[in-house]
Amino acid sequence: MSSGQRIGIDVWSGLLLAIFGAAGVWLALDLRLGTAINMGPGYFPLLVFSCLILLGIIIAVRGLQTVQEPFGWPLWRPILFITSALLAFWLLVEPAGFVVASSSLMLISIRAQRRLTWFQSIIFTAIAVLFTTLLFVTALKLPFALWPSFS
Amino acid sequence: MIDFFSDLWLGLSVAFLPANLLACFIGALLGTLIGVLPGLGPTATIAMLLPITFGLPVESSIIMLAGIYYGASYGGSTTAILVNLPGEASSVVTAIDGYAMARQGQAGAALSIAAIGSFIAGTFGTLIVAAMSPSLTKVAVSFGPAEYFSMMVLGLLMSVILSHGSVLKSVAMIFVGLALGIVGTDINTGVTRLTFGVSGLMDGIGFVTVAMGLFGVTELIRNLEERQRDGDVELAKVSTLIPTREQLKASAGAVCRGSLLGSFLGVLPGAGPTLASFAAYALEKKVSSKPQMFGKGAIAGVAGPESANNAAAQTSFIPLLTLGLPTNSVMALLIGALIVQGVQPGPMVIKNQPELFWGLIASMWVGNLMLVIINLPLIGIWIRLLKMPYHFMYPVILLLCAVGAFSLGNNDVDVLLIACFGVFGYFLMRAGFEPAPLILGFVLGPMMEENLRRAMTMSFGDPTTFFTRPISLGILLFTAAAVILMALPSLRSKRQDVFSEEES
Repeated sequence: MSSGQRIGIDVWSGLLLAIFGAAGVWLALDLRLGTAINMGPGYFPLLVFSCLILLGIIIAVRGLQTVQEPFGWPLWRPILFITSALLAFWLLVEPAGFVVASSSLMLISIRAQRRLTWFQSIIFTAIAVLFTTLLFVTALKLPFALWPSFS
Repeated sequence: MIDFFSDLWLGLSVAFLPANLLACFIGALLGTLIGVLPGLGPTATIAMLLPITFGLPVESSIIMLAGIYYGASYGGSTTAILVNLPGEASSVVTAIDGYAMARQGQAGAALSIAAIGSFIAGTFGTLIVAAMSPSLTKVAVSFGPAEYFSMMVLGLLMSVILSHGSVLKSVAMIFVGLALGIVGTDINTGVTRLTFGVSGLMDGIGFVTVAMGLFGVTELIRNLEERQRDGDVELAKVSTLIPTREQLKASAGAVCRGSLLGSFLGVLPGAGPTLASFAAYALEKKVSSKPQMFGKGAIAGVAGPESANNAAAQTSFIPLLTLGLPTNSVMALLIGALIVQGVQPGPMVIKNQPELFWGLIASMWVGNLMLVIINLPLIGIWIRLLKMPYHFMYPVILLLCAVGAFSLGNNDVDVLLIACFGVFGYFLMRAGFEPAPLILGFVLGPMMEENLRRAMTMSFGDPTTFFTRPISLGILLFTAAAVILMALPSLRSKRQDVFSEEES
């Protein structure tokens, strides 16, 4: 492990956990704590988030004591296109309806790999959207608006 | 004894209603269809297909889910054997010898043995469930909040023992799960907690949303990345499905041992199919006259674990049906589905809804049967599906996730959430954190809080109540024993042995 580094991923993830725990404690303190006999809404969250701070610190400290492999950064293409495809669906499904939302999801997510040409992508999207519309909206009657409503 | 058969008969008569049979068939088919896709295990598959069961009557929908579950498990084993890509931890060991067999041109035999072994083990497991559940239900009625709380502590800690990697990180994941479970409205006081004013979060974060994000979307991203790095996967050829006489002989004992071991381990909270398959593999290696063959295509190395994980899959319904406690992520999904259908899982189900209870048990068996008589002959189709280029599959899977998430509560926030959990899960994976303890903590969290509150109120704030009530004490002692065993150095190295085998 000659390529290791001192401040590895464990230190960072431990710290993140501790920060997450601290934020939670801060939010939980706004809630009524109550007593052990009659616990308020804040009692259990305070317990859980306090443990998280503790665990985060332990993980970070143990991370400092061991030399770790460097963190391999993700390839940006899959993660970027997959999340933006979902975000597009989320943003479009209410205002623009199922057909527009699912088509955008398909077209964006296809870009996560560079296998299909634009023309192929459009054909593939059309087929997939047609089938999912028939399955979910026509057959299973899920409550989607198909098209944008201009009212 | 007469009760036993009349109960089973009641169950079979429900499961064999044409509509339910059809539901089971469609479930098994769809489950295999999605489960066979590389990287998508039963948890992700069930999460994705859950919405299609919502419109059905309660019995049919649960029966369909049972079908999906078995289909997905079987699909996962198929992928493990043919392309060495196990979809879930429980089929990891199947891949070791199954893939070795596949490379020697014996993929068909491995697949048949896996299916037949699963069926026999499943039958055995079903009988165990049917025999034990009624009496256990009577014990369960005497469970108070303290016992429930201790039971959940046991389940959570067992899930840590079973996860790969660092124990500390797994415990941290449990607490992250518990923390996420807090989001929503506090049922005792009606106060909203950690919702940040978002109305879509008032009812809490849906467990399917979390599972779909952490298991479905994360896997999708990871898969795409691997393909971008290493190119497409290679597929083994399947010639004949019929195993030779020697292979049958070699696997008969393994199937029996696997069924017994799996049935026992499946009942333990937090253990379930994963532990069962690992333990069965170790056992087979130990009793085999040719242990050097393991890893190079020993049929017992496929038969044992596959039988064990299926038997365990069956008996892990026992804690769910008798106590209403999910012991692994699949059971957590099923419990959610039951709640959506208006059934509160627990000791009352057997009394109030016997058709549902016995119908579910019988349909588990029917689901297994379905796999052998329908799915196995269809193996050609599944192989063709595996050959289908991934760039045609993943956009459709993603679309299924989005539609599924949206239709859970007609809530578009859920689509955003699966994207967030997908990215979150991806980074967790890269940092060596496991998602399984998180999801269990998430599902058990609200139940734990509720039972903790009640137990403490009943004991007037005295925390020793967990140690003074005999059943609760017993459970906690068992938990302590399990933790101590795990901490022992000799066992710890063994645990690493078992888990490192898959990587080599």
